[in-house]
Parts: sequence; structure tokens; C-alpha cells
Amino acid sequence: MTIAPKAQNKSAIPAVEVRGLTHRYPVGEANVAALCDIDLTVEDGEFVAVVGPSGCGKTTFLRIISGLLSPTSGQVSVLGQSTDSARRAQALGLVTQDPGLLPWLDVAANVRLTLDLTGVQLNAETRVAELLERVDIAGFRSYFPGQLSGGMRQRVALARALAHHPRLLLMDEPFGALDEFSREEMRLELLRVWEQERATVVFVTHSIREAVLVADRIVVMNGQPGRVSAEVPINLGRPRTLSMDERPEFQSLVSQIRGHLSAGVIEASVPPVAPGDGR
Amino acid sequence: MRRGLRGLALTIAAPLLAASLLLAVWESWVRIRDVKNYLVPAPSAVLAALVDEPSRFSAAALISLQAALLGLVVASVGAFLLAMVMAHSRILERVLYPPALAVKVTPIVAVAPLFTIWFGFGIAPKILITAMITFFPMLVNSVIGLRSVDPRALDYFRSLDASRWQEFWRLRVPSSLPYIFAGLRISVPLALIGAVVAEFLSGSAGMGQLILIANGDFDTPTLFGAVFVLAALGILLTASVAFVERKVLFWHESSADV
Repeated sequence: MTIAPKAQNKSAIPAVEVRGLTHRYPVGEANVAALCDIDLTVEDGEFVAVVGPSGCGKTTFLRIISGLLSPTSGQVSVLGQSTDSARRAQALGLVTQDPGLLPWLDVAANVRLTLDLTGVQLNAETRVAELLERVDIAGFRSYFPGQLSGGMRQRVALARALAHHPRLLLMDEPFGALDEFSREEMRLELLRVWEQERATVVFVTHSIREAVLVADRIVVMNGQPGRVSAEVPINLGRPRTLSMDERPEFQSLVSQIRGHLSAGVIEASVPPVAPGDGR
Repeated sequence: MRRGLRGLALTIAAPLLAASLLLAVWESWVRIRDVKNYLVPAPSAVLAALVDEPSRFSAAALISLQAALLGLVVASVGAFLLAMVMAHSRILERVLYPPALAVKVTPIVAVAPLFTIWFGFGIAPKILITAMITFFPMLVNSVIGLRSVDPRALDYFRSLDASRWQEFWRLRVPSSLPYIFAGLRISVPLALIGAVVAEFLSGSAGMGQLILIANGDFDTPTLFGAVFVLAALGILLTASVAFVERKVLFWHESSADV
């Protein structure tokens, strides 16, 4: 049960392929580099977590994959096509830390909106009901976002992002604004939903434990501009449980990644960083 | 419910009590000091003027109200259409903003006679003047409103390759409603002023004409009556906007019970 479901669906084309990606953005007169020479391949059906400190360009990286931002240089392909055509093919689902639900629509209508925008009319109501059931929020279908807790809003955001069966789910610190209890609950919830909906996931977070708990593979990013400093496979087996973090292999993975993060920081702060640049 | 009753008592009884007190002081001041009727009439005299020939006031008020509302509708629709264009492009905004500002800063008193020459004494010049006064606040608020979109929601729409049409109707327009209602709150009293000023300057029928005639006759009680009627109309209109706003913007922070 643990390996079989994803193996069937696997396609030879990687979900995300990034080669030599560099991105700079203008700040006043200067061009500040946000990402430097990134290479990354995410296989179809894989759950990849990108871990790094704030300001290492994780969000920029995700926006580039989503086709919302064009990189300065380098190749990025999503599902074998350009990021823009993948976006146009409505193959993406997006969940951000503040999900930007529409406050004037109730929960069901917010999820339904994805189906309207992607032109899914057939059985739309059934799909909405199924999704709300799946993220365990069916009892709140006629509530408005303003009446929900942060955790419940993220459930709605997850349902909304998955409604049109996207092949690639992009998540940018989705649980970053939640309290510790809802965060743990949502991690498991996400994994449970993922087993059922089966999309490739790129999951950006600054929590090492969170990354180890959810991912098949962890990409460690750091520095300014952000670089990929390590890739760590997580062979913990699925389904994952919260108690897994007490296992020695979990602990050793966490310290291994922490090592990569601090090594990267030292390396990046030695060269031409001006004194007093606290970031 | 207890809170509701107390709230009702506070919102209705308290201002009513204050108003009655004010009227009582006014009435006794006029009587004791024997103030001339054409200078400051007693509230009782104003009331007598109002009930003596109520149709005079109600007919005039309806005419003014009609012009004010039509002018506001014309201005709001025009401002929204222009705002769509201006919110769409910064260049067009720069091109269109100066003429819009010119309309705003032009003294109504200067153009009103011109409108009367062009359009006569009917409702048309009144609608035009009202629209001129209310256009600018509606325009500014509509432009800001159409631009004030949650960037995360915009990312969501774009990640799904939503069309510009969907982005506009399903995201920008609802997002702009709080700003449009703020514009309406400013514009509704202005609309009433616009209609009355137009009537006052051209002498065409309505509250403005009523005031003009009463002024010529030194009929001060009627003047005061007209002021009260206009104030009541203004309050009624503002309250109606607030009522609709609470229904429409139930989801917005501004509607939260504090």
C-alpha cells in the first residue's frame, strides 16, 4: 500500500526540471540576485520539500516554477513544457501561507471557483462536496473565510488548489502562520489528501522537521542569492505518522539537514558580503 | 436581545432627546427675547410652515431628490467605466486624470448658467451639475478599488490562467466594492447639494427654487423648513447607503461588530 499507488502513475517526463536558473530583481539602481545557478529535477508523483532560511529565494523559486514570474536566465520546464504553457494548461495548484481566499464567497463557493475558472462544469457540485469531505471541512461549507480559523482556511485553500486535479501542487510555507497544534494536524492532513489526490508536490518551508515529515526528498537552499546546497532523500516509508519524529533515523536526518543549512550559511557569508549586512 | 434594545435606545432615543432639548431651548429663547420672525423663527413657526402646505415641500423635495439620484447614477456609472480604463493602464490614467481633475475644480456656480443656456430649465442641467460634483470622488474610489486586489488572490487567479474577464468580474469588482461604497457615502450628500444649487442658480423647480422664492419673500420659517427637509433627506439617503453597504459588504472588516 505504501509504494504501489504512485508507481503506477509514474511518467518518464519529470514534473519539474530546472537547469542553471538564475534570477535577479531590480532594487533601486542595482540588480540583486535572488537565485543563483539552480539545478533541480522533481520526478512525476514525487513529494519534494525545499528547505531554507527566510530570504534565500524559496518563494521566488516557487513563483518561477508556477509561471507567475519569468527568470532572468536558465531553463525551467514543468511537465515537459514551458512554465507558462503548464500554467495555461491549468496543470498547477497553488497554496500560499496567506492563501488569499475570496472573503465574499463561502467555503463551498471558494472551492467551486477553481472549477469555474478552469471550465469544469460537469459534476462540479459533487466534486466540491468530495473535496470538502476530504479536507474534513464539510460541516463548514456555508461559512465565510472571515469566520474560520487559520487552520480551517488552509484546508479550504488545499481543497481549492486540488479541485481541478492539478498534476503539480506548489505550496509556499502553507502552514507557516498556524499554531503548533494546527500545523501538526495539517501536515498529516496534507499527506492523507495527497495519497488520495496524487499530484506531484513542491513544498517550500523553513521548518526542517516539517520537511522531513512530509517529503520524499529534501532540497536544501541557502545563501543570498539562494543556491541548492544539498539534496537529501527521506526513506522513512509511508504513511508517515507524528510519532516518527522520535525515531533515531528521523533525528539523524534532521541533524544532517541542519548541518547542510549551517554549512551553507558559513560558506555564503564569507565572500563579498558587506559588514553589517545582518541578513 | 438586551444589547439590541440598549443599542436601539442609544441610537434612536439619545439623539432624539438631544434634539428635543435643543428645540425647547430655541423655542423659549425666541419667545423670551421676542426675536423677530423674519430673523429667527421659533420651531413652532417652522413647523406651522411645514404643515401648512406640506405638498409644497414634498413636491419640491421629490423633484430635487430625483435630480440628485439621477445625477449620482450618471456620475457613478461614468466614473466606474472610466476607472476600468484607468485601472487597466497607468498611461491612460495619466492622460485621463487631468481632465477629470479639471471637472472637479471647476466652480459649479461658474458653469451652471451655461448649462441652463444649453439645456434649459428642465432636469437635464440639474443632473449634469449633480454628476459633475459627485463624479470625482466616485472616480478616485473606483480606481483605487479596482487596483486594491489581494496579491495572493491574484496569484491564485493567474496560476489557473483565469481570463481577464474572470479576473475583472470575479476578483476586481468585488474587491472594489468597499471603496465604491466609501465613495457613495461622500457623494450622496454632495448629490443633494448639487441638485439644490442647480435649482437655486437656474430657478427651476425643486427645493432650490423653494428656497429662492422664500428668500425673496423674507419667508424665513419656510427657509428653515426647507433646511430641515433637506437635512432629513440627506440623513435618510446616507442611512440608506449605510444599510445597503452593511448587506453587501457583510464580509468586509468595515462591517464587523466592534
